[in-house]
Amino acid sequence: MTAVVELRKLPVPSTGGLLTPTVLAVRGDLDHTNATQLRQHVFAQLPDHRHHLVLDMTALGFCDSSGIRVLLTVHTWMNERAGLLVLVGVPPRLARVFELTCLDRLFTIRPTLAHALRESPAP
Amino acid sequence: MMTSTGHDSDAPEPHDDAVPGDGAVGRAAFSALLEDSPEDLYENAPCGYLSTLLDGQIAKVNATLLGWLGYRREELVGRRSFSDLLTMGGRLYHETHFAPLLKMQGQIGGVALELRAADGRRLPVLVTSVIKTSGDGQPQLVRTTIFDATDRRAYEQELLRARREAEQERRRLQELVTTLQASLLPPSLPQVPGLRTATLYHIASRDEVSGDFYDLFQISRDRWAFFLGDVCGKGAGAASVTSLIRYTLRAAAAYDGDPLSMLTTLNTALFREYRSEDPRYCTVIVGVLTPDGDGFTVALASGGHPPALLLGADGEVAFRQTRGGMLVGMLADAVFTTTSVRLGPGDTLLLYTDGLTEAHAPASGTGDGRYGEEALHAFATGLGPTTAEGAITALAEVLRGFGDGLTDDAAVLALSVPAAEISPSGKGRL
Repeated sequence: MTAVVELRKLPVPSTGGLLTPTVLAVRGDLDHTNATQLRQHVFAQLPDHRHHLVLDMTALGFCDSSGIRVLLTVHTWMNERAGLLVLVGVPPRLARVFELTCLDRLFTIRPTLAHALRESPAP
Repeated sequence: MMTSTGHDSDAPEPHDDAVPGDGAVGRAAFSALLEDSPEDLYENAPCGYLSTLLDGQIAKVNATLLGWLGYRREELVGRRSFSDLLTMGGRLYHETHFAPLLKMQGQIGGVALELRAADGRRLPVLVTSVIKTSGDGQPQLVRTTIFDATDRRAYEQELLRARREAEQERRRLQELVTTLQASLLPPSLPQVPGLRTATLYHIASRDEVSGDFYDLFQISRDRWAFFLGDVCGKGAGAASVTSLIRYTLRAAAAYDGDPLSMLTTLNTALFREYRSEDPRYCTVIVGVLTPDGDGFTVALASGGHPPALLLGADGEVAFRQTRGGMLVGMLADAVFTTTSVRLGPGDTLLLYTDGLTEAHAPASGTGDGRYGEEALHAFATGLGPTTAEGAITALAEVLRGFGDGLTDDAAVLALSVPAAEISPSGKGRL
């Protein structure tokens, strides 16, 4: 069984004087069979400078430890560039895993995309 | 100099140049240029020609085939038969299949055979034969064309070799995975006086090393330590992390014997070792067993791991929550949580990785179709008071029930204290 995951870039209205974020929506199941692929797709969308990334996980069905590793890798990468990774629409089961592993303290998590966009950091 | 035939305005037919010997200058030049006399075409065709009598004796052979085989014409014509040119295997095939089919059908095409050259070389060829008949339908002789199939054979052999190599690689990989996996787990758990232990280990793929691990070992005269965990990711990278985890925890246990400091030491090791380019994390639950009357006190510390499940002698089943412990290796100054469990006679403690609770189990009735902690709790409740072996045997059955739904690796470690001795009357036994 191979999990299927899709990554879609969402159009974002300009946030005026703020840093305009890249918004990527993840759909499907994420596990060790496709985690590497997703990581490459995410990084392919990221410019190599200070940046703001929002991952919309509303349509993410399942995410195992390989998927969490991808999130951590992206988080670290953004941190090193003084950027920000925001997770929105975290499904309940994944939220429990975040709570169990204390990742809810590490990641910036917002309930919806609208919340995340309101809080774009200053450029 | 004309090589075209479109000049003969006096010719009644514009396209009659296929008629030989009509004497037109342009046609002669064209013909000469192509050197396509039937004789030359026969002798030096890009394939071998062979005519044999009905008894197989060679009657005619072209220069191309003689060249390939390294024979002089007089060595073959009237002296040898077609099957003499074949290898032993080819001769058998010719006798049992080729010749009878040819006789029956009047022709046979595209048969792969091997010829043996004068110097013993083997020449892979494709052979097509037809029977030439006389006007009244009587068979007269056999005409055979022979194509050099060296390139094709080489190609096929290359394909075969590549396939064999791939299969061998895969076998080698699986052996390596099995060996590596074995080195990451204790071959068998040591005997702990007054304690029963049992384990379950499921590997999702034979091609990849699992990221699940466990261990149980003695740290002092009467104290024992154990751990069970799950490295984020799998494969070779996860295996090297698992190895580091195992040795770090064993060393830390020997040094300190406190589950919390074991986790802290491990966190530092993982954070330093894998910080930048290839960060690695794990969830792990660590325990230390200290004898306590008729059972043990179990000090537990967890770093982001699912809670242990206690199946009491009284039939009570409860998760021992260890929320608030961080994923190990994530932050330099991580925080972990501890709890203490009393394991008395008839109690069983179950540690597991999320491969168990995350298995696809549509029948479990959870919203997302995964087995889930609730189902595990219900299963344990239904099991009643049990033993380490009893719990593992029953769980193995559950895992089998998942079938293809068990997509991830899963590890379970069960610890139990044997129930109190049966009373002399034999009552009180379950």
